[in-house]
Amino acid sequence: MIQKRKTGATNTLNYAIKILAVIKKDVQAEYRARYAVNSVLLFCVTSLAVVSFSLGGTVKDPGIQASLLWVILFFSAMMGLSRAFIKEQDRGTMNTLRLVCEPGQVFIGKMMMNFILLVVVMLIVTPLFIVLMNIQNIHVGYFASVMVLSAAGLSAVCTLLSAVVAQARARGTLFPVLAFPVLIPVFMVAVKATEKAISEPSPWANSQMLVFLGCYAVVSVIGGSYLFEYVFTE
Amino acid sequence: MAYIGLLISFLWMAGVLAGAFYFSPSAEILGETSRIIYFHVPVAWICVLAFCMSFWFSISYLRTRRAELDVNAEVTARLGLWFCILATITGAVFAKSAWGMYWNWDPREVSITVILLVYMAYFGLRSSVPDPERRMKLSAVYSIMAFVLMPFLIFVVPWIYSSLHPDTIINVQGENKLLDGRMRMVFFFSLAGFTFVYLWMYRISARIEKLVRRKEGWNV
Repeated sequence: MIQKRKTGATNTLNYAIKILAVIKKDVQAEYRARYAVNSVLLFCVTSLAVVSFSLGGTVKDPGIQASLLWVILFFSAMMGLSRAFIKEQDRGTMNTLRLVCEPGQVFIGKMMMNFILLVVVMLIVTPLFIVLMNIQNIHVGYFASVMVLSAAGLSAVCTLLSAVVAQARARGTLFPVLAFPVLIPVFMVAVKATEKAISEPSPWANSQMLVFLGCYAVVSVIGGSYLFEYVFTE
Repeated sequence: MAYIGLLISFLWMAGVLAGAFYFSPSAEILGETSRIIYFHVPVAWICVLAFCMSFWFSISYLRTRRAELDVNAEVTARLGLWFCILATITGAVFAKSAWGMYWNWDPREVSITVILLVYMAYFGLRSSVPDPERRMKLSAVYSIMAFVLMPFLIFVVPWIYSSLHPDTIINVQGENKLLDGRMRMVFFFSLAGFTFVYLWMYRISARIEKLVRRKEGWNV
């Protein structure tokens, strides 16, 4: 029997198709139930309302505005991104995933889904925040790069930790406790860079912050996909 | 043999105490409060050492899946947590007397607090996974991930917070201005002494923990 030798290109293609299948499945499930999107968006909008009503436009300092925005985004991420694997565990579909896909494919698929979710949340929260906080001179390009790069790092770390807490008890409270110490570097730099984006006329002078966020994202994706194998396989 | 080692480290630490309070002079600017360097810095060093050892044992556990390596990782993390608390408290005491407040948002204070949070999260994770094999695996993964992302923290904190920590004042362009010969001697003796004490505590706790797990039916 002659077996066709798979070339490198078809291997990569198959790998990408599996990743896309994981994303597609999650997007479809999300579209049908709208569980994560609904709960996360409602949470975001509520906390945004709490912050802006309690302050009532009195805060003019860009440093405080940036920190408030990131506190809202952090807790929204904690709510939404932890669900990636918890819902699989609860429905008992984790073993199906194990059968169908390789760990790396599941990790990258879930991470991209989390990334999409986070970007959607940011797209809705940040314009509202800018309007409510009355922020005038904002540098859109720099601001958007900060958001996207931080979202990449956040989603990689949260995907790994979501798989970790899915196998533990008291997940809802455990997840932010585990995630915060690991995410502190992103959090601090993102707050500083957001402050620059809404206060300085030419924030690109601080492009080393973007490089930092990018490096963090790359390291967390590599580390996460390597460690995920140990978490995922029984 | 173990008793001789214990005796030596006991005498050594007694010598460090005497050296710290009688032999060494006080530093020029900081005055008598500078003597905390012989206790605070070694404790902080043990905290970092324990963090590294925990990382190393976690990697070895994931590679070999031998339960005793998980025992080692847990024990060294537990000691690290205690030393981390000690380092935070001694640092806060020094900060009060040198800078006027217990908490100053100094880069070192921020970094040590993050390590403290990592340790606490590690034990939070351990206590909430009932199945032992899973507990070992997941806590090892968390410990490795936290260690891998820690360099970012050390890199980023000085950007955000400015420092009053003595070593930035002492080590001006690599030359030690304040530590004279006797101070440096006591300091390194203390560093070695604390490392001995830590290794001794580590060995004893690892033995106890292994006995406990053997009683629970584990082959460690």
